[in-house]
Amino acid sequence: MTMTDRRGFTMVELMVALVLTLAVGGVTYGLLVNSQRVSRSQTEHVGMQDNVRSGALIVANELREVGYDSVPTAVPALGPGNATNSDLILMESGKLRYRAWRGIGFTCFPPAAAELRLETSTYMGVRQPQVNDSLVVYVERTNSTAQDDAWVHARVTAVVTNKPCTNGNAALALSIAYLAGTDGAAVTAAMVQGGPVRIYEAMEMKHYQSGTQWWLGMLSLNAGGVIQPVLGPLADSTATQSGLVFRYLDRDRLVTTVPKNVREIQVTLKGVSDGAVRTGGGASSLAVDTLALTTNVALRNTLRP
Amino acid sequence: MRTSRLTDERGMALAVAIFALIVIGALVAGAFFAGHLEQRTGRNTLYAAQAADAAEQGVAGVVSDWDQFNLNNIAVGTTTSLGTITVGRTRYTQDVRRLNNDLFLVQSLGSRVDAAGTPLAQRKVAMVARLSYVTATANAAVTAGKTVNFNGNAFEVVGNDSVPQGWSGEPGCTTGAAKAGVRTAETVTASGQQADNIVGNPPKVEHDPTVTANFFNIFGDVTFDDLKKSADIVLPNTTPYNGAAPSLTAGAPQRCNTADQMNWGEPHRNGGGYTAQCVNYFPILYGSGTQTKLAAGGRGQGLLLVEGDLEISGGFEWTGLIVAKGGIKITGNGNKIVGALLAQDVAVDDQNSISGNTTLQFSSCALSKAIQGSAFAEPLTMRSWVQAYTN
Repeated sequence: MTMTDRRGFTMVELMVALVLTLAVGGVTYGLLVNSQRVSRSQTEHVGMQDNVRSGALIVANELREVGYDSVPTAVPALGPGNATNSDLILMESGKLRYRAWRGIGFTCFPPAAAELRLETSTYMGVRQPQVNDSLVVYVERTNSTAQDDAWVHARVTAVVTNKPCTNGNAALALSIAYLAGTDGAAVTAAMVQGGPVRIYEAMEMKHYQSGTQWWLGMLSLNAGGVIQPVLGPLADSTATQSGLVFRYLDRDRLVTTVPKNVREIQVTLKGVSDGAVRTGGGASSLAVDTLALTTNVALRNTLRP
Repeated sequence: MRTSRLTDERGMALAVAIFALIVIGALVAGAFFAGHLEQRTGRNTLYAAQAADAAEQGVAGVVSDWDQFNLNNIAVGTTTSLGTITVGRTRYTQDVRRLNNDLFLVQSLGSRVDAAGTPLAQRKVAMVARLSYVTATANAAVTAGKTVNFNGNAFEVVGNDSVPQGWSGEPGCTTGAAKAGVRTAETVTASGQQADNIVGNPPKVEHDPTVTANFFNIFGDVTFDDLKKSADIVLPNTTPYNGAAPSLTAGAPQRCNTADQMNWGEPHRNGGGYTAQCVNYFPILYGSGTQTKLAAGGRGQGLLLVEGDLEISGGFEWTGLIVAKGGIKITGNGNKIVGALLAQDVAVDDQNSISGNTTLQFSSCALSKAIQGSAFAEPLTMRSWVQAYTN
């Protein structure tokens, strides 16, 4: 085979091929880059959706049990008549202090002034009672009427797990201290074995900054320590927006500042993406993506006539 | 000239195309995965909400339709299962635990299931409920808002507290101080021998200021209207209801047939036709018509509420409380009411007439048992709802 046998491309053919290759390659590259950006922004968006949705579930689960109680008629041993005790301790737009429900048990041993025993097998909750938890004890008083029923507040001072109930079943024995001004003996006399005891933990939930990012954080006021991030990152806190907003609504769905009037808490979470993503056309449209989710939490233990 | 072979071909178009396909495929797969994940997350959220709704329905159903007969009689410290109810792809399992004499824990496990019945999401909620009792302030065998006319000499009105025949020894059945035979906001018409047939301490109280509209409508925590909403049996007819008697379900074991609208419980404790399975059945009956007529050998126990006039025309026995918003007319032989009878006489032309061989006997035991047996549960007014996590 000689050189003259070989057929080659002409310059024109090469130029056309080169131009076509560059054009197709350029278009393909553009598509790939665009697809990658779209994919990344979608992933970020889905992550944000998961984030705020999880946050909405966490906040709703934490707040749904919130309630309040009162002493319907003046009973010196229990407190002044119509004095209310709401689980909402401090209500602010970006911060909430509240008593979070942690469990419910039922007395299984004749109540004593300084000790209540809850049957282990019927205890329900997210965790066992702990020292410094607050608790409310149901006091029935006159059994022919519910009008004088009350919940009396106390504090757990010790927990022993292996004491018996009257029927021999295992019991959680809670050493308790009633709040100042409460006559423990009178309360004990008005209690009936089998009555419910609710366990609460004082908590703080707020919008806070850690480093350059903002988070929804929670802190146990009983246990102390430092605030722990629960979810984020959230949008920062400015005059016009915030990553976390609580609105406290009464039975007419109007904003209220009175804890005992709150029937519903509207929670708005505004999540942000971890980094800048393309939010529109062109490279110049790179920005942090945001997504807001609002959920209304009905406070189940405030819904009464 | 040599022909070209495949192995002689040069170029990278195929490699570039495959690479591009892989990259595009990966991007599409990534987008699909993200979308699918999002879809599943959303669907799971929906399932969780459906399970929660089912659980709520289970709790609300037990409390709003409280089964006095079965639930008021479960022992303290025990739990009774009410079974599982399926509604489409959701279901709920209800149970009730008696905490003490007055308190119950109602629990419901709600589930969203797939076509095979496998749970996809579950949620459990509970409610602490309390028995709501009627507080009967009856202080006489008969209490009326207007004049009570007695006719003939065969009737007997006794305000002295007594235990119904055969009920001695039942828990809570004791006797207290004697009450008046008749109390009325107006007068009692009875002369000579008729007056002697009215017994009590005192036999009669006329122009009693305590006999007000509230006396007939407010019974402690519950009102007449509350009670009629909780009625187990509604009697809408103005024609007579004859032969009410306890009845049993078919098949073994036979139980008190509370679905029978003419089964009003068993006030007897022995004797012919005595139906032991129904001695703890104290229904709330509500006569919703302008007139309710009872006759011909009927019997029952519990609370009998009458929106209009009440007419008893022979052979009717009732143990418990009767409250009529209208007047009462009792005639014929063999009528026996043990407990208390209240007639408000709301209409201008309402009258009360008692005659025939009729016994009206005050009994705190009968009242107490009827009230306990017919009590219905309501959520605690404060902090009743529980998100029932289980450990």
